[in-house]
Amino acid sequence: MKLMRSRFRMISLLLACIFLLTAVLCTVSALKQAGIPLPSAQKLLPSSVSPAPETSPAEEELTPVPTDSATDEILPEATDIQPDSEYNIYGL
Amino acid sequence: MNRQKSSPRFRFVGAAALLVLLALLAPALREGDQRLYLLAGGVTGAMLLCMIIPARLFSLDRLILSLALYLGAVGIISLAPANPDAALIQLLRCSVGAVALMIGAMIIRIITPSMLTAGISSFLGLLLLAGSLLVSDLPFPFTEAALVLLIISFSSLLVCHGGTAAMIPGVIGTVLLLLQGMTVEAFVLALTVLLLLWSADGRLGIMLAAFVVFAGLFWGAAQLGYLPAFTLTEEHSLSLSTLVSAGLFGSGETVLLPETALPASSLIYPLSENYGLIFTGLTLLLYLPLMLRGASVAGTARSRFHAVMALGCVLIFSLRIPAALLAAFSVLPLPLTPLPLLTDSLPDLAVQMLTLGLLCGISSVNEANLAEDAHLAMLAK
Repeated sequence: MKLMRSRFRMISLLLACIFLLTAVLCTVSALKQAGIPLPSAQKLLPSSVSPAPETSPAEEELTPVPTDSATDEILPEATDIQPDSEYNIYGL
Repeated sequence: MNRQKSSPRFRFVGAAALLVLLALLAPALREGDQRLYLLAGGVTGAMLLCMIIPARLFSLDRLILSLALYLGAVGIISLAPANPDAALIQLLRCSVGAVALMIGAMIIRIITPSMLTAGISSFLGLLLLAGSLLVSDLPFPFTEAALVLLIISFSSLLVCHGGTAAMIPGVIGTVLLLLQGMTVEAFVLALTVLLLLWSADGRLGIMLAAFVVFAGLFWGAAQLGYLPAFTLTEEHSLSLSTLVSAGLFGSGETVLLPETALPASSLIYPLSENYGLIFTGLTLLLYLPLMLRGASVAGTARSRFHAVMALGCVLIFSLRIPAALLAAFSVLPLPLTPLPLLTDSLPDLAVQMLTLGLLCGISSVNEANLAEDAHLAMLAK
């Protein structure tokens, strides 16, 4: 019974880890979709934190480019872009 | 002493009821709709009533009960701004769910580990799964109920006859789920059986045999083409864009989503649309204390039967949350499924509440045992 309870605690710890990992992955996915580049989160860190290493050309290529959907969200009215009526479900 | 212990939980209930009241009053004041005022009063009153009368009557675990009621209420408030009629129907569903929770808390005192319990629960569980397989156009999904019945059967068989016998209904259930193409549910059931075997039985031979059997089942299903193609589809990207489109604090307007944007009747989409990502994220984080409290109830159970059943209920309830979230946020190409308690399917909601009711019942049995111990210790002095 004692061994079973210690294993129960390990399983609950495992569940918590899986849940927190899921929360982090979902947050990253939502930020990417919203067009918020993840490196900009470094600005929130205090200046005492060591700066990020310089990006190589290969890494620069991987920098996320704002997508059309993100542009639509940021500038919903000031552009001439006509959103596709199929996806224009919010009347923007 | 009892008052000090329960006070923070009462504060949580008060805060949750206030939040629900404000979330329903804001659209009511904006729209001036009488139905929204009715919902604001009804939902808050029902939450407080459930926390006072049945919780005291059946000595239910207040944390599990309040979190379950709050998540149920979140399902109502997600529908309220755009469709008050649907929110009223959801209130009725949640009321049925609350009754199911009370029933779950009561029947745990009746169920005892025996061959009869194991036979009835495994027969009913497998019958529901086989029925879903044979009759494809059933009006209600019965998978949730079948999984809970299989967990009861597993616990009973494990206590009475050991791990080998306990594994059999789980293996047959996994086969039936794989034949229906329910890969996530089959994986959740297989993983639950494996983790329960490891924790409660612990023999290496049984564990290895179970692992080989389940791995063989999934391999065979993949070879025979019963596993779906795991690729991100248009539905996944639509799901993610729907979740993100309202921004952090919601669109500020009542949004009526089209039917195509609501895969699998999940209420996370209207919630995110009307109240924003921050409120949705904070609400989803409440699943963590619910899981941990359930695991804590399993860890403090005195009887092996209650301990295994409680952990099985927690695993069946909890393992689906990451799968549903990862699919909804388009991280993994899993089928889109509704989150537990945030669904407008009455059978699913009722069975999920019943599962939490079983946990509440086991918690009350634990407290009764502790009180008896304290009484005996006092008499011994």
